[in-house]
Amino acid sequence: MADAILRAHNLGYAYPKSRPLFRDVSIDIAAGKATAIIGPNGCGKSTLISVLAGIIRGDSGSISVEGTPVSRFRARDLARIIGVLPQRPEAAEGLTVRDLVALGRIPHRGFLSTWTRADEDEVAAALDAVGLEAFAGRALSSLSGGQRQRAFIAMVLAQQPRLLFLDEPTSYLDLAHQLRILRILEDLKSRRGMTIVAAVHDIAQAAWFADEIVVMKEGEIVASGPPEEVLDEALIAEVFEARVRIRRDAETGQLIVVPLGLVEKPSIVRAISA
Amino acid sequence: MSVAGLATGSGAMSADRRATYVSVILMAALTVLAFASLTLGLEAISPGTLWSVLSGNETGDAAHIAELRWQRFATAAGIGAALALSGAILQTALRNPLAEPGVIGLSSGAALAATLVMLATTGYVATWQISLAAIVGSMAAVAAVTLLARSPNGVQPLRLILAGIAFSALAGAVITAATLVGPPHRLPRLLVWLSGDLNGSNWADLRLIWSVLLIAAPLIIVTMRRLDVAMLDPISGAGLGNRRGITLMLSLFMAASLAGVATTIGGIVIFVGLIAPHLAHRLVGPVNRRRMPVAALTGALIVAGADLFGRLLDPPTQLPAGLICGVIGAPFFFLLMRHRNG
Repeated sequence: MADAILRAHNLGYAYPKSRPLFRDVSIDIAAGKATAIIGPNGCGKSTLISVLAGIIRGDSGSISVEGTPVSRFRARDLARIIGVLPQRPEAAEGLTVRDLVALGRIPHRGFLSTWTRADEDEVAAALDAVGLEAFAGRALSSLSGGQRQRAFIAMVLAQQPRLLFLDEPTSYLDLAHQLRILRILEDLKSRRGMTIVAAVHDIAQAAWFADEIVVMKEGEIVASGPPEEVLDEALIAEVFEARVRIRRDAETGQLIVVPLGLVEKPSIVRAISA
Repeated sequence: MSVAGLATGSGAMSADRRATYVSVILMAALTVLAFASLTLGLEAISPGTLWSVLSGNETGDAAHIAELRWQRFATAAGIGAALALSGAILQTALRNPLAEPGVIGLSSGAALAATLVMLATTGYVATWQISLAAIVGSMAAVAAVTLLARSPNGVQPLRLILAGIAFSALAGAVITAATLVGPPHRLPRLLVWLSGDLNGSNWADLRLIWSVLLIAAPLIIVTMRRLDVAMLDPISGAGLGNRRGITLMLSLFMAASLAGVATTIGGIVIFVGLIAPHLAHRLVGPVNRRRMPVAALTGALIVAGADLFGRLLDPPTQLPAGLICGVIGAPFFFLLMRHRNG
């Protein structure tokens, strides 16, 4: 892929003194595209995102961002290119939405520089992008889960990243809030050309939202490519140990994933019945 | 502008303005307290006499008493501000609302070093010698506690607090042992010092604490924005390009200096480092450029107020400010916690 914004080669990571979380992971993130990382719980999605985003350093392998090895970036300069939204972002009690979003400007501000008009405009634009202008003065803790998530997305947007990592951005949200978050991400991609990488646990959602899907199992990438090429019933059965039927919606052409049941493991069944 | 407008409108403007109002009110309260501290006491000084003293027309006993009381008030206020800032820095940097100079062992390190110097040396020990020992002690405590808290992923805040508690317990035991085996004639001064007494504060104390505050102020201002990132979870903070290690080290260094010097002069004054930042948080929220000044002013009010109270309660007995802070602080903190949960 010629237009990769981030390239990772043979990445490995292990918690100190434990089995590796992933090994020899190579991945190219296509610029301007949305990539979904799917895989069962504990397959290493979150850790991979942290390593790719430069939050934690891998044990082996190399990462380059826009052609430059990630080790050559100062943390602050990397933060101007890459934004990260963790799975359960937290903020100090009493922090207002506006103050939260203002934190996103930190990588752009000099050592002693004061708050500028440009900072103010970016914060307003970020709040506007997530539709939270009216909530600027509210305490984060007084918002609903979906509004909170949007506030954190606004903070990352104020950072003006070109590459945005999100770890399960729609978990714990109801359907309308999930759709709203996905629409925001879609807008960022199509209008601003932002590259988006999200760990997603809902397969159908991943298919709907992503241009590229990366499938992980036990710390390895087992498949990657466009949703319609990657997602098939055999792969899902193999990776998630769940039997599904994948269909295409007649009207919209969207992939529909119908869960049928667990993949029966004869050994377990025998063990239980014995 | 309506209340609703204030709540939802230009958030930053109203929050900054609110912080300014709160600071002005606290400064006014501190001024009132200064006036009370100068005039009230065993020898009351009337406002008229105080005016003559301030304008230089009165140079007798009243002038002397006013000078002593001013030294004491300004020293107490400085100690309160230093402890409050130390606590506010620690709570933010360690992302732990219970972090306090006392909790992570800074005060204990300072007290231990000062105790050993007071008991182990022969002849008169000057305040500056004790100060130096206490600063070295609190720095050593930081070093020891940080080393104990080190893990492969850097210094972990929770480990730091656990190490601090262990260190405090050890230092407390050594101090107690030292008071049992130390020379009896040196004990009274030590015991009074340990309970946080400001009686006998002088210009040297005043200059020392305010010099440290003046040196710390620009450092705090420069670090504040980095500290703001610590309001977020570690991943979000790292995503903003914050190198946590550097911020943590700088914060611990500042907190140790502030608490070390405050402990030197006022002994172990507990709860201020906990209560003042919490009050400030409730008044103006968690953003450091608003919280730090309000915390410093609140801390100054608490310790100077406690000192005045201890002086007026049952004269001529002078109850140490540290003792008053502990007695008032414990239930107050309990109420604060209950209110917060409810």
